[in-house]
Amino acid sequence: MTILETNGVEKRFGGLLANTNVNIQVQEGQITSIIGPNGAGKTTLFNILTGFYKPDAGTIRFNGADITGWPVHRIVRLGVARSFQLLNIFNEISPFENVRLAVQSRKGRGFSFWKSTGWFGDINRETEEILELIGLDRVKGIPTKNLSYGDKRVLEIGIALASRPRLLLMDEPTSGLPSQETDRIREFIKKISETLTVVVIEHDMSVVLTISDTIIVLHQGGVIAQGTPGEIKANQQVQEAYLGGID
Amino acid sequence: MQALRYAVHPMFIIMAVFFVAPAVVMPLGGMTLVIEVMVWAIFATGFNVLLGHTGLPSFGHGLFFGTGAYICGLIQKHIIAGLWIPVLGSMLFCGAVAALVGLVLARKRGIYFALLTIALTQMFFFIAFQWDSVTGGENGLMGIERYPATIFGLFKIPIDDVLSYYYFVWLCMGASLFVLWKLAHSPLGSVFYAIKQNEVRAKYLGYNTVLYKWTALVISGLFAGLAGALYAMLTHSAFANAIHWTRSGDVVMMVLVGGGLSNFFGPVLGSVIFIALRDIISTITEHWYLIYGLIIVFIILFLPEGILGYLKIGHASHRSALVEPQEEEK
Repeated sequence: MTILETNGVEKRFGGLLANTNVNIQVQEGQITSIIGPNGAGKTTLFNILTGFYKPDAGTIRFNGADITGWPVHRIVRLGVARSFQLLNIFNEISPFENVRLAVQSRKGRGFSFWKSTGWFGDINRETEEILELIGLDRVKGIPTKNLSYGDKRVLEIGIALASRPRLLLMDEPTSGLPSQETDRIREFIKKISETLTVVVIEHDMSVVLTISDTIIVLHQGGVIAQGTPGEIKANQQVQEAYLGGID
Repeated sequence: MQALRYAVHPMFIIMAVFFVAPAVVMPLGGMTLVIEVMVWAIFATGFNVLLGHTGLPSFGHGLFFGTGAYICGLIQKHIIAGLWIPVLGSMLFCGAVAALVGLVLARKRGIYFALLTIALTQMFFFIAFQWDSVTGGENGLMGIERYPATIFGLFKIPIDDVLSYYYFVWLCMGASLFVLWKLAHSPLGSVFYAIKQNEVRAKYLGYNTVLYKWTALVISGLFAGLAGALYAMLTHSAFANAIHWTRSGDVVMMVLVGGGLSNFFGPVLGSVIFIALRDIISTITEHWYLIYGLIIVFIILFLPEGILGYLKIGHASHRSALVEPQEEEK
């Protein structure tokens, strides 16, 4: 079943065409990778899919509903979460608070203004569970800015997971990590993909080729290929535009 | 042990100090000053929901303070000569004004937010200054009374003399600080603080940040309205200069000097320092703002987190329970 679908999505910044005629389908339960050279419009596409930018043309459907032009928070509540390439976490508070804020949002408790946050046992228990799942319970109380880079990367994903999304968009989750840490993230993506749909922007081809069910190749703002890892490796156009460009 | 914990709670200490203060201050004739401190403490702590908790720099909060003063006087004159309705009316009216201007402001942040607040407060300043028939214009609105506090129509407590008015304001401050403290430690307070740190991520957690920023503005408007009404009854008058943007700067300075960016009680300390300095320096020179300005510059340069931030009392945030205490690394 197709969970996410775009039709003719286009985005311009002044004279720059960031995305043009993007038509993609993401199948539920799969891991879909989006690859492409720098400036191909991958992150812009994520910004459009999550409502951060409004597309200049085209439609986006999630789970059958037309979500084109919806604000970010509504799309998130519908079940789309996102992790960022550049760390985008709350640095001044603890990892516990980071995750707790996400759980609190999903439980619709953000406007409770009288009882202290400690009073909401269900939220705090679930926060503990998520911290345990992502392996950050050992550092849950320290200021987030003091975490190691690898732990921050995991927290970045953990916050997104805490919204219990049906679809998780991950923008270069291994960005800046040494290779053994990359393995940790790769295994982690595999594990979470058992219960939700993952779309991942990734540069590390060893990661892309091993985890993906489907690969989408973006080039100069448009989709030039979409298929299984085998098909993409064999695709002449991709070789010229991207894979060949690296070697 | 539990009792001890409450006894050393800053809230308890603040309230206790202000409770016994008249014993010292009354013989010295400084009661009005201390009442003013408490009024500013309500104003600044409510304002800090916006600046310190949510990270929205308003330079136009005198708008709500000044409007609160006028509305208190106007309700007394034209609707009912009492205590509660003028005071509550001021709060609600200022909350409503905040709700209205919030429709525009809540979509902004940073410098755009700040500039818009200045523009709005100047607009209201000129309205108040020019609208002679309602506000008294340049002469101000005079004859605002301290009517007795009636409780369920059973008791009638006069608050006209300085000591009883002192304790009335003391109670208002206690109630305000308590409500704002609860709020800061509630889920709502945690969302405010999340928006301050990273509004984009807060959106990506599913929070409608525009609505939350609007809420913070309304809350700060309510307490500014209360402070304005109390101030009007203290001085028996309301003037347009309370709405002027330079007044709005005072409350920003109180928050910064006291340490409101990182400590819930920073604005209270800031109010004490502001009023004390104004009173002390202005007996020496009428250009007291010059010296006060230098002190501000000194504090901003050397104590960027304000005095309480520097002393690390309740450090890390105004929400004390966010980060567990850490052992020092060896």
